[in-house]
Amino acid sequence: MAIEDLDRATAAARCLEALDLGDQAVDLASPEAIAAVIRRAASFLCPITPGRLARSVAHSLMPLIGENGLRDQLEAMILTLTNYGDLVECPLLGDAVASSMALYVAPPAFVRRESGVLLLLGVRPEGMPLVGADLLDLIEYERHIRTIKPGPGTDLAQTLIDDGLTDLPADRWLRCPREASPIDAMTPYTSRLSAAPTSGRVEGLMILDPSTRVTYYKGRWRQPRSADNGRFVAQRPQGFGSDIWCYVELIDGMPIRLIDLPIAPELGRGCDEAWRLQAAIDALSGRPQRISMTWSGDRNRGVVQLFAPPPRWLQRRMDSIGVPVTSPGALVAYGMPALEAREEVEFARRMLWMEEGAN
Amino acid sequence: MTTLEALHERLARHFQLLRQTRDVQTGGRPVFALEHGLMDQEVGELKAAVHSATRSGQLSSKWWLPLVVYASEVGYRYTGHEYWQTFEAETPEWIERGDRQDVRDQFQQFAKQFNGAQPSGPWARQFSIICWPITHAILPTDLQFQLARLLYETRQILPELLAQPDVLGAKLAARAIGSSTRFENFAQNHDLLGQVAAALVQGPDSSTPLLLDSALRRIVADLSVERQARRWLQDARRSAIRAKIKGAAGVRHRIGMGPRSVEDRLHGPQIATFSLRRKDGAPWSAFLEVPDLSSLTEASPDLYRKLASSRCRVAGVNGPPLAPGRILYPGQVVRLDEWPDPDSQLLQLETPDSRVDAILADECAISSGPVWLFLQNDEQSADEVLSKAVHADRRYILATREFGAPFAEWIKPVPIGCPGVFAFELQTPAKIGANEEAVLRTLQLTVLSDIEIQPTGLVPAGWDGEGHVEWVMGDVPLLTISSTREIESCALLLDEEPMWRVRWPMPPLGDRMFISLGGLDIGTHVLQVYLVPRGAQSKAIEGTLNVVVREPRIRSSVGTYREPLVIASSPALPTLTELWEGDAAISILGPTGLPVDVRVTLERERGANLVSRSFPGLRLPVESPQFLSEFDAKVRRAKEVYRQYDYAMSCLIAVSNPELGYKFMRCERELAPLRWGVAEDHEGPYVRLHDNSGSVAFAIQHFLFNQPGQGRSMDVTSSGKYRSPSGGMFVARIPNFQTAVILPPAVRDLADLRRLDVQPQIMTRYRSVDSVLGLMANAELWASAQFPGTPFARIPRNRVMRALTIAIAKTIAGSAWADVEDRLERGDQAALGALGRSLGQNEYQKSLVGAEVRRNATALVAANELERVGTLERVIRMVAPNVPLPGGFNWMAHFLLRLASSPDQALAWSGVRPRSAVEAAIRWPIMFCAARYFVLSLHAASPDSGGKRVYEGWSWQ
Repeated sequence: MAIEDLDRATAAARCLEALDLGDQAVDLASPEAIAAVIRRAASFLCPITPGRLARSVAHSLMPLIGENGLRDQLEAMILTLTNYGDLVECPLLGDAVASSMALYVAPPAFVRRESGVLLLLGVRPEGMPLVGADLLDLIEYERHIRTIKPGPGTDLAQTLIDDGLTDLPADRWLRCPREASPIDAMTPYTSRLSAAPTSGRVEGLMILDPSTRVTYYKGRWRQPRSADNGRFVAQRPQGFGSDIWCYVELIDGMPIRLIDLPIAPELGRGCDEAWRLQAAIDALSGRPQRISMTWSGDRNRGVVQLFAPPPRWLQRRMDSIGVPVTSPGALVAYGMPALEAREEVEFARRMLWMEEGAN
Repeated sequence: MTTLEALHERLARHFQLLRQTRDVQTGGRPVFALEHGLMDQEVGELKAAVHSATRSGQLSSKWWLPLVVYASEVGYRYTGHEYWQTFEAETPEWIERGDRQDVRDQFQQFAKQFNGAQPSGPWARQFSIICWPITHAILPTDLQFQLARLLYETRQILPELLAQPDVLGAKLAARAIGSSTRFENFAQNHDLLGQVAAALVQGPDSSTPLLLDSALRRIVADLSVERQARRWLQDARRSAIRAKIKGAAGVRHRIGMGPRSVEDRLHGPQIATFSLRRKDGAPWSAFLEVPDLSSLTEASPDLYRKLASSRCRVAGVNGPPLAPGRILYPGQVVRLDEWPDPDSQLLQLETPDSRVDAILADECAISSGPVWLFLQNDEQSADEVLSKAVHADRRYILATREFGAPFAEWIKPVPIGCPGVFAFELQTPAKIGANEEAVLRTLQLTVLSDIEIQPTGLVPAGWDGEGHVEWVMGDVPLLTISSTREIESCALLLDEEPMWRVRWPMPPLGDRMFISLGGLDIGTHVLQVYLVPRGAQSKAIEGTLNVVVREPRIRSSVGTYREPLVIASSPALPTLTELWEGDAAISILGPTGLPVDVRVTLERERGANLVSRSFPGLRLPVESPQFLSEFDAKVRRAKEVYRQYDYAMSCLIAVSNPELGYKFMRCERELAPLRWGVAEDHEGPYVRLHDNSGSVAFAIQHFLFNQPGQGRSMDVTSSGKYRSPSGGMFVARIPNFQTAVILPPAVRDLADLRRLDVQPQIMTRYRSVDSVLGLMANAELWASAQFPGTPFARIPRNRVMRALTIAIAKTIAGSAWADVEDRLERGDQAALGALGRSLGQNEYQKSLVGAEVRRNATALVAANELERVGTLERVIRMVAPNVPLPGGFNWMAHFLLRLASSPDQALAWSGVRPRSAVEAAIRWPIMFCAARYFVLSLHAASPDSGGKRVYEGWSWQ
């Protein structure tokens, strides 16, 4: 046994080394390292709520990288990993705590990009590596995305299958909803809400205010007020686990009817349906959500900026084409070849009825 | 010199030299016949020589080595089907001229002369001949895949164990429990498993004294034929090398070495942890996570099998016990109806088993009371703090057996919906002074003031938030030690190691220090930390951290409650027969409403599919009746599937969803010395005996449905096939083993359907204990007989079971009762009322007891097993309040209900008490009559299951 005292930098370097990211994460606070730390924590702690996962990781990392914005960064990364497919959120198994939502690790899988590059998904339990030891050094890390490039003369996909990864067809991974008009997209929800029984008072209800600026997502959330009348995307707390997404009808700020989301669980989570529903509400109210495209230093590369959280199918599509980047003012941004960026902007405009421009 | 003689001489020289070399290099590790060192062409010549000698009747006891090598070569290709069938098919005229006993004798000679490997374990005792050639095949081809997978799954523990093949073998064997029966059998020989595994991981290029290079190269080459196995083996090797390199950098873990062994380290029970949850300000509810029993079951295959097939009670949980095998699914959280007593047994089998219960009592527990501390995560959840240590300025819940908590404004009672404890919320002050510390000590809590020790960097496998941390081997344990005081120096004491002292970092870094713990053994450790504050007279600040280092756990292929998709099965790992006969309850758990793909495949051997069926359109969760119904319709009753059943060695149930993963369960045909198969040809249905026993002294008996108690001896046929147009039960017996099968009557047209209308005749017995026990044993034999899928077997078999139950009722209850039972069996429903009115031996009993029984009978339909037992128990207490019944009133009620509904189950269930229980039933027959009336009333009131059950409404677990 050996006890060793370390300074902070050495301790952080030891952790970084243990993550096996090679030289691709510059420090423990980098998005790549944060994503890896979360995946590893999830491999032991799941099932767990997103909040508790964030708290656990924050508790361990704070002494090494400080607390400045760490919790927000962790919560955002957990959401991104869930959207991407490394984690999956679903009700807890077992009778004892039924109806609680929790995160589980997603099964090991890969998706083929058109370029031939393979996107790696999922987490193995107990901190075990996702792929065989010979492939570990070939993984490239870019924020939350892990990719691996096939070398000449190797059947990398088959090797991954041998390692127990599922070859996930891109369309099954993306699972896009059908293109529809905002009204058509809303119809299943409005019909269900109209048919829902009268609801009582809902403690802790938070609504997404459609009258607020669509480019500041966080600022759109508030508690209902007595002047609120109409139908809103909302979140309500539940006994155990994370809040439940819902669609609620208010009269004078009081909930009259309410349906929980998702209504089609095989197509996505509650938040995926809620964000698309809100996009439809915004489009119909004449304040469509925004998407913009800027140029990176290189004119051949564009940056697609989103100002609201993308539903899972949109994030996955961007993940499969581009690289997540930080872009001032945007909630989420992806760098990609300019032609692709233009196509993605058009796709998002069609699917979420967005308008181009940051303001 | 004949070829055989020349081969013998050559092999004798080779094995003699091999033995000497191995003795010197390994201290006497055994030699295997597969290490013959012959080239492929020479093996061909050897086979030809053995064939020639067999044909000419010249197989010699003098030139025996070629036959040993030949038999081992057949063993190397053995896939779990009949060894002898393959051997005899490949060896012309062996049936006429060969002798199986000779094969064993010659292997024994090999063991003696060349220190040959000796088969061991229960499997070797059961298969006393074929265990020799299969052991000497080292690693038969179909087991190679499984070993490669096991090495891959355990690759993290390999580096430290390669130098200790025996320890490696034991570790791998422990992890093999729950895999295929054949692999488990192979793994029983730890020494051999360790040798082969170490040699495989070290690779064919690294010379090993454990196996002859040519044999090792052959196994590796064969293993590499299958891509996935090759990949697993390569990765196990690479991981071993990678771990070694990392280990050189300072992180090393020892397993089973050094002054404290694994057993020493792991001594102490598995602690089941509590948690509290509440909803919207409601009272707290208490939950318990059932401990992961894998470390226990890894140490004992018998324990695994017992738990896999037994219902288990969890202390504090009312209602029915967990279904058989469910206790083996880690991550299971149960809601507590009442707080369990720490001194009582946490987990207990429903049917007591003193050995298993003793293990469970010793090895599974809750943390000791009388107080339990929980750290609040938020308003809705709190997790147990095992160390019972509190920090300043945190919010805890304290559960305590006693209500009287000391008064303090930061302690207030809170409601908890779990009888047996009171709960208090503790908001510890920002600064814990002497007064507060005294209060906390009164509550039996430890105070960690001015010091904090916490895991840092990567989140550990477990952390209770205060003083108990768990790491997995291979981790880099890293800690932060911090204090609210100004510290001058620090001293650490880890277990019994010398004290380690270090200067505390100077400001501005002086608020904390980082510590790395390298080279911790697997097991539990205690780290004590002493901080010396600045100032001459300051008292040292103490803190303690309990550290557990464990191996990574292998997740079962069926999933655990820690994953979003689980194949839950009772028993835990059913055999193919149990699955086929509907004796396994299988459900698929997962998020409600999500689609799941389910595919069921009958396999001749792993990867060789016979027939496959998918169950389309299923959505989660798939409950067991739904699964059973799908299985019945698409597998068991499908003729093209049913026809393949006899050839199947396993059934693979695979479930998948792209978001939730892929899980599978392989139900294997149990490996038995004798096995019956049922098939059909142009002459009609027949049964076929598969013989792996090597025994020549087996007996076959045929029981007709109409005469279920009278077996007729059959001549043993060379084809193993047996027929009877009217069907019946066939029983094959060898010493210490018997197996039975139901042959359905031949039904080709409507006229043949009459054969299903069997009228079992059972000879009237004297009213004696032996008579009843004899009928119970007969029922047990009929119930043990395996079924083909066709209902033509089940209908007459159930008639037999009912006839035997009625015969027991007649024997115990006497002739008056017997007459009414006969009327009821003939379809006279009014007879049930007559039975109810005849309950009791005198008018008093008839008016009081009979009325009570009749009143309760109607309520039984909706009652569960325990409630039914409870109802009969009340009746027995009325009838025989002062009678010393075996096992007590409740036990007797349970026994009588089983006897009256499923006498086959009563015998095994009653353990050592069947004789005294039957004696009591005969002495006070009204107890049995009441039980029988309950059974028949419920049967009459329950919906028809299509003849699946002997008595509707009665299905014992």
